[in-house]
Order: sequence, then C-alpha cells, then structure tokens
Amino acid sequence: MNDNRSVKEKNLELKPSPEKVKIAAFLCKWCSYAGADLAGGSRKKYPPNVIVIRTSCSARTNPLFVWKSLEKGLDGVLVSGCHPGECHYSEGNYHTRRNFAVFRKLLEYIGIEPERFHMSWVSAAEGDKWAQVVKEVVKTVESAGPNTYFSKKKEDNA
Amino acid sequence: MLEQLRKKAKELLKNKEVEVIIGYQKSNNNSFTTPCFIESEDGVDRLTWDEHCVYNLSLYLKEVKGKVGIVAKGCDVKSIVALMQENQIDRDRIKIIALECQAQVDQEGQILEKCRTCQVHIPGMYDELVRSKTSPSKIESKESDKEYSVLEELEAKSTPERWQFWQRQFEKCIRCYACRQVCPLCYCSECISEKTAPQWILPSPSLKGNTTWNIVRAFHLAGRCIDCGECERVCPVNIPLRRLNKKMEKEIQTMFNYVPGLDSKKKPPLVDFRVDDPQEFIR
Ligand code: SF4
Ligand code: SF4
Repeated sequence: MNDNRSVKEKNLELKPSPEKVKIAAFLCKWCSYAGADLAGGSRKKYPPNVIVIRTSCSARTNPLFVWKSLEKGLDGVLVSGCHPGECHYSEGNYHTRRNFAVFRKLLEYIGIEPERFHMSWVSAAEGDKWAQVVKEVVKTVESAGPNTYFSKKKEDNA
Repeated sequence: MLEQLRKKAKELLKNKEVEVIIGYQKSNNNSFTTPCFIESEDGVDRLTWDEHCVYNLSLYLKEVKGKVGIVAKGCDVKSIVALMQENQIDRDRIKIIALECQAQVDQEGQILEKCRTCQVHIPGMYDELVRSKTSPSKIESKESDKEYSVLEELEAKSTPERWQFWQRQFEKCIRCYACRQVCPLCYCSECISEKTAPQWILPSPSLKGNTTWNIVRAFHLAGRCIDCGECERVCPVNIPLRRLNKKMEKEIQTMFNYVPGLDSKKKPPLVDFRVDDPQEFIR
C-alpha cells in the first residue's frame, strides 16, 4: 500500500462516514487471508472498506465476534475460510458452517438485516475470487446502509 | 399417583439404592410447591404431585453428589438426557422416578405454553414410571397449537420491527441472571458474562449489554435447550425468552433434522457436522 499519506489523512479516514460502510473480515490464515494477500500482490482492485482480522482457522471466529463487531458500530461482517474438505485442521470449517448457519438466523430474528452478515470460502489461490467477494459484500452491506442499531439511544457506554 | 410415587421413593431409600430423593413438596401456603430433598424413609410423605410442580429439578443433579433419585416430568427427563449427552452426569448414580404429566399451570392457573405442544407426557427415559389414572390429556387442543406457532407472530414482522420488539424487551432486563441460574444446561463454572479480561458483555444493565447477553444466552443454548421454559418463568421482567430458544430449536430442526433431549447417544448438533450440511448462504 502507498504509505506516503500523512497521519492526519489516515485519521480522517477512520471517522465513520455515512457513505462509506465499514466491514470486519475475519479470515482464516491458511486460505482466505493468503487469498486476500494474493489479491493485493497481484494488484487486484477492490473496495477498501474491509478491515481484515487474521484468525487461526475460520472456526476460531466465535459468533460473538460477529455480534461484537455490529455492537461496536461496524456496518457488516464477513467470515471467510477454506473450502469444505480443505481445512488445515481437517474439519474446522464444517463447524464454522454449522455455527453460522444457526447464528445468522438468530441475528435475523433479533432484527439485524441479513445484508450485514456474509460468509465465503476463498482459497489461497483465489485472489480473484476474494476481490469479487469483497465487491459483492460491500455492495450488499451498502444496501442496508450505515449501522444505526444503538445510535438513537444516548444512555449507552462502551 | 401420589401414593405410588411415595411408595417407589420409599423403596429406593429403603433398599439404599439412593441416598437422597429430589422431589416436590407443598409450599408453605399449600397452594404451590417447592423443591425438596428427602434423605429418610419417613420424609417421603412430604412428596407431592399436582399441576403446580413446574420446577425442572434436573438443575440440582450436578450439585447433589452420590446416588440420587429424582422426580421428573417428561420435559425434565429431556434435560437429563441433554446433560448425559454432554457428559455432565453419570446415569448410573441416578434413579429417575418419572411421572406421567398432563400439564402444568402457572400461578394464575393457566396451562403453560410449552404443555400445549408437549410430546412427552409419558417421559422417554426412566427407572420407575408412575402412570396417571386420568389420561387422556386434559388440554383441549386449539388451532394455534402447532409446535412453533408461538413464533409465527414475530416471524411475520419485518426485520426493523423485530429489532424494535426485541429492544423493547431487552431494555427491561435487569441482568439478574435468574434465567441462567435456573437453566439446567447453563452449568459453566465461569460464565462469559462474568469475564472481565476481555469484557465481552457490559455487566451493568444497558441496552447494549442486555442485547449482547441475551444473544449470547440464546446462542449458547442453541441445539441444547429442551424447552422446559424455566428461564421465561423466572424472568422477573417477563422477557419472552422461550421465543428465542424455540426459534433456535426450529432452525436446527429444519436444517439438521435434530430434536434435543431425545437421544442420549447423539452428539449435540453444534459440536457435530455433516459434510453435506446446507451452505447456500456461503459465497
Ligand atoms: S411439557 Fe409435558 S411433561 Fe413438561 S410440564 Fe408440560 S405436559 Fe408436563
Ligand atoms: S431473567 Fe430476565 S431480567 Fe434476569 S437476566 Fe435473564 S433476561 Fe434479564
């Protein structure tokens, strides 16, 4: 990344702005993280709205991480791991899949727009797919707009 | 029924098959019941059985050591099964005196919501069974008595409406954790709600913390909750917690064809998987 920008400029970018959605992306280090790295390395263009968090396996992404991201004001969350059958730990991603199949239903039931939560399988070789996934996810999260779940209430802290 | 129940309890104590029996006794004002622990044969006359035996006594199984006998309704037996599935109790030290149960009522005398769709009037696992003379069920079935009909009203709402609904519920929560304490399956010695480093759930009652707590509680019970409804019964501010648990149950049944509390040999669904699980939501 071009890092000549001043600190001031960067700080400005971190402020939430209604036009620019922010998305937490929890990526398995064995595939999706490497896939995202490959996309960067091969200079694929994709929207800069994702904040990448590297996890040891997609199954490390506790559904609570997803909720906490939304609670803290992020607009969307993406969880990504290896394709089924390709987990570095043999079966981690099967558990991820079940967990989130259920958790996304809970989120929806509680009143969170389904547009905000996404999952993908991206292998270390799929830089193109990663760029494509981010494009789609950003677009979908944008359609749900900024996260205002707790912003109307003043009483809150943290 | 009561005579039989006392007789079986007495036998178990007399033959030293159990050291203590967990059961129900009349409350001080005689109109309700409270849990009781009976250690001697003379004590068995305290045992009672009627439609006010709402408590799920399996809650005490982990704490009472040694050989115990437990008086259990069909739904309570399901939670014993769930505890066995999770290796929390040793079936060999437990004697289940199961009771055929028509329905339980709340303090106003209304039949509990869960009893309207009950499929275990005769419990699914027991050592002794006490049958009722007055079968069949005294519940007149209503049109709305389908298993998941309590969810329909909420499911029909739009997403923002549901958010509103639940926020209005969660803002009442006083974080007494009664729902957790009464749950036989909330047995963690350290609950995530008490962790401080990092602190996942804001401990003071606040909309954010309450929402997070209730999401965590619902999800940690997903695929495990057997719908005894105790959380909702004890909630001092009447949050319809069963509507959360039931939703999880429904989704898991639809996706993984699993019903909790029926088979002690089965793995709970969220520590299990199938290679061909649904994944149409994944890119
Ligand atoms: S759910 Fe069934 S077993 Fe449980 S209290 Fe109601 S009728 Fe009795
Ligand atoms: S019992 Fe009700 S008020 Fe108490 S912590 Fe549970 S949901 Fe909140």
